[in-house]
Amino acid sequence: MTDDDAFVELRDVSKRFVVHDSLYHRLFGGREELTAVDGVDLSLRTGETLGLVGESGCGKSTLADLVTGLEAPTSGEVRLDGEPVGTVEDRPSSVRSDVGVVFQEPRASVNPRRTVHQTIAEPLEQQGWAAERRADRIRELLDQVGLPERHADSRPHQLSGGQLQRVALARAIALEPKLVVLDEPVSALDVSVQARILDLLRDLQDRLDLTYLFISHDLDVVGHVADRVAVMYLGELVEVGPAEQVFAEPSHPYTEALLAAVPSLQPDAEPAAPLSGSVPDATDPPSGCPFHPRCPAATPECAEIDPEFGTVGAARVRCLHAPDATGATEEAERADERRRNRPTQTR
Amino acid sequence: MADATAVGGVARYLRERVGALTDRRAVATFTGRRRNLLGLVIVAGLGVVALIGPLVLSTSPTETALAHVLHQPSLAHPLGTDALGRDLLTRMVYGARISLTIAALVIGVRLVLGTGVGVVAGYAGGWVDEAAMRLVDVLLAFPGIVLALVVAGLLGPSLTNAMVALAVVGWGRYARVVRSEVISVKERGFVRAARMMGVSRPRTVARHVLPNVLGPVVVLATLDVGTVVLGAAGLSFLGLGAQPPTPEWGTMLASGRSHLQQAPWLINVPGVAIVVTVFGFNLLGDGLRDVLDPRQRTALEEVDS
Amino acid sequence: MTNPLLRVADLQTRYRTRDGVVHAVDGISFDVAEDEIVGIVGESGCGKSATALSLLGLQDPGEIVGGSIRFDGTDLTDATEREWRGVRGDRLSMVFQNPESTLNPVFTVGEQIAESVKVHEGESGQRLRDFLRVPWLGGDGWDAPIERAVDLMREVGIPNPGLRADAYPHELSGGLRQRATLAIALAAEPDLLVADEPTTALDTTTQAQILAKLREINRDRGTAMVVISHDLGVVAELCDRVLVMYAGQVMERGTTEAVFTNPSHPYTQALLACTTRGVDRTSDLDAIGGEVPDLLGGTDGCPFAPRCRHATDDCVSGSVPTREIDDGHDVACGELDAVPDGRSVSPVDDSDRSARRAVRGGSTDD
Repeated sequence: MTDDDAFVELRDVSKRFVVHDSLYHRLFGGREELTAVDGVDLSLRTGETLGLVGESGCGKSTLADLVTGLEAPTSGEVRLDGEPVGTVEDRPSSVRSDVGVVFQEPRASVNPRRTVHQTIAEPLEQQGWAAERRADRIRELLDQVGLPERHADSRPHQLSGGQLQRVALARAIALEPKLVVLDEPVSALDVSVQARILDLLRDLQDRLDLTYLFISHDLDVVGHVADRVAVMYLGELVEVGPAEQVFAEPSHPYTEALLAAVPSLQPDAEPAAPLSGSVPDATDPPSGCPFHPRCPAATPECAEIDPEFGTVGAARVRCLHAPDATGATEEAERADERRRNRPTQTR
Repeated sequence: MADATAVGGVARYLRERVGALTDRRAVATFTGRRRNLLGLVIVAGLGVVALIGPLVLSTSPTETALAHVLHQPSLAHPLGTDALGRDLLTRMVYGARISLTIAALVIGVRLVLGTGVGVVAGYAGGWVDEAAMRLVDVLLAFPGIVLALVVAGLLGPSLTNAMVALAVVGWGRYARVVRSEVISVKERGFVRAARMMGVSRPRTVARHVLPNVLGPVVVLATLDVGTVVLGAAGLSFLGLGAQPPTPEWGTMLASGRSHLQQAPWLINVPGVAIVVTVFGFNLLGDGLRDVLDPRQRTALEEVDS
Repeated sequence: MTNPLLRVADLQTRYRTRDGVVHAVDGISFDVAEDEIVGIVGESGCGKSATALSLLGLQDPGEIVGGSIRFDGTDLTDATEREWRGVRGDRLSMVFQNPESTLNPVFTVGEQIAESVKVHEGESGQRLRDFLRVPWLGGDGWDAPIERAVDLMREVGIPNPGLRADAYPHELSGGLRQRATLAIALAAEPDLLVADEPTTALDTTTQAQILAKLREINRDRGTAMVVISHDLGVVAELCDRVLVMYAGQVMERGTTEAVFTNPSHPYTQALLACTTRGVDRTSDLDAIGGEVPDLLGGTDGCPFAPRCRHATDDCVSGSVPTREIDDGHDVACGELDAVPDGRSVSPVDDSDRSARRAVRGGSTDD
């Protein structure tokens, strides 16, 4: 899928890690491959917020690292603004300054030994800005993220988690990037602080025309910020579509289960039946559809066929049983045929 | 990392650490325990003795006076005299200077070598890390003093060779501590963010990695002083280190051994000096750990909040 | 309520720090009846964890300086460590946020659960050799506890409990580890279980599993629970009654139903307004300004006053009246008349789950 408006494009991107990569395991075996991201096609349009959701270990942070260039894809291609790009080390500095990043843990995302001013100045220094110009820009940035100027000389231990996240945000937008990758930016914060940071993010997006890749395990937060949502399971995308549709009428059983698991504020609401089991070992993924062992709607063919994407409304869904999913039904028919040809089937 | 920025980073780090020591809370943490103060007093006292002692004393540590052989402690010779009539107090004072110099040099080498290897191994990862850590494993597999004996034996008996031996065998622990700290720091957001900005590796190490790993290293170095003083004395005692008439404590122990019956102070005085030195530095190191070690620090802050 | 299982009255727990005395728990009172699940909700630093620790006598290095804790008629406020040990892990158990800090990495999960079974049975005293599983040193009598451990693991929903009993903590996923700590807590068949952020470290799907399990245990065994959480959703889903805490004090208390459909304290209203639930992205979240106070030296007046939009001069000093606005629904606010009616501001309406979800994504007025 090509998209003229797309600022970020991932084309069939996969990332595999080798686990147990020590001398011992090299000599005596036991090296295993873990597929963190598996054949992902995804694009982000300029100015939109794409929410990426999934359980921990589903590969969403690795996907973020591939976009930011902190990791190189094992196969496939990452394009920024139409141009294929490599890891940060290979990117020219103009491309590098197009991408900002904010991480989850505010205490770990700024150097505890450096002042707020030094932290925000670093990307500017790196682009060779003179001290005076840097100071002006830092004043402007502090104002934009809503930090009083007196905090410029504060050190991280003097600031709260919410304030530190503002510092990290100021650093991320210092070079006027087009894309900001937000990796669980509010997960470590209290609800009241979280609300303020979310408002700030939206405000900045409107003012600076930013594109956000917003990663979170919290569906409520994603529902609040995202224009489009991508749901990931075991390294693969299972559903991608407009937030309204995905949240109101999830087409993939996994999306449905994720939504149902969010505790309701309704005191008398009947709690949903929780999804059973846990995420399978990524070094030994299940056959067929990766979700089938936990899927309430799974049928025998789900264990055999890894479904292709079909279209449901404005969303792309990867499920054999997605309603009206074009492509998926054909696939199921073909599978039926194969089953008929192979009468004895072991599960 | 022989990069100029690395040196600058370390200098800035040390300035900041000194700054941290004047931080009210850090001082309160440190002085809150009496044993920390005791350690500080012992170490400061030793430092003063080693620094000023030789300037104040008019006697020479090597001048023999056969008329005053093996005198008991008296007013003229507060700690007595040895088999060649030399004043034991003078020799102890000069010995303090030698011991502390040995400790400083040996630990300096260990620190630089260990930190360098640790940073490279932790930051580079892969086979570099693997190779460096297996080497460290080998080093740590042998008791340090035994390995030092072998090295000193190969190099021949002299104080310099003893120091080389002690330095060469002792950097493994620094490398290991630094490596594990580097591995945890390099996954933190600010190092990843620096990578994304295109900050060069040496600069990232100097600015973001080293300052955040040196705390535990400084603690380790302080605790290590005792070991080095003991090791140097041990090698000298065995004849592989300082040679007579150098007033090194270990050498003094060795030569005093033959007069154990008549002049027990020849053994007791250097022995006690070594014990007190080791004790003092260990107390100080424990105290510094409370202030400098980031893990202990956050633990304290958690309790506070 | 005739005789509550747990009665906490005017509890005050303080921590001495170098910067001063932190009034972590500042005069809170509540009852927990048998079979009941009571939730304590609030943001970090509001004193909810200090409350939980005080309930189990684990507040050290803090100190309980006032008030009382009565458990099933026995006053535990000044209980010695020895007396505590008789109650804790027997009639009172706790589940912590972080299973990693509860489970010992060098023993198998089965052994650890069996150990707490053994301690609970502990009629023969706790001799060290009984706990060593070395054949010729004694330490027999492990078979029954291990069997019981496997039963417990099955009960908390660990699949293949027989196999998993021999697994070490690091071999289990986060959700399974939390289930194992739950099994340890349940080994003693406690009357009251205190759970401090039991699901915070877990994914929502796993969280839903654990919440369902806690509900089931409460229903089947009648175990009373005190559940501490920063997540309003967790509390709403699990608890019968709720305490909203702020700065070591109770701001609002009532049945979950009452507090969520008629939030009457400005802080409760603000907390609910902060949730992103059902708010589309074009509208601002109604965030609370200011910072959480540091609790040094306690507070005068209403602790929330500096951040409260309804605060008057009367709020910043003196004592704050607690008004019972409904049966069992108490609100600690001096300006209740100025605060809008809870029913009108509550994000919780009468619509059901699916309708709510439709609202979440529905309106786009751009």
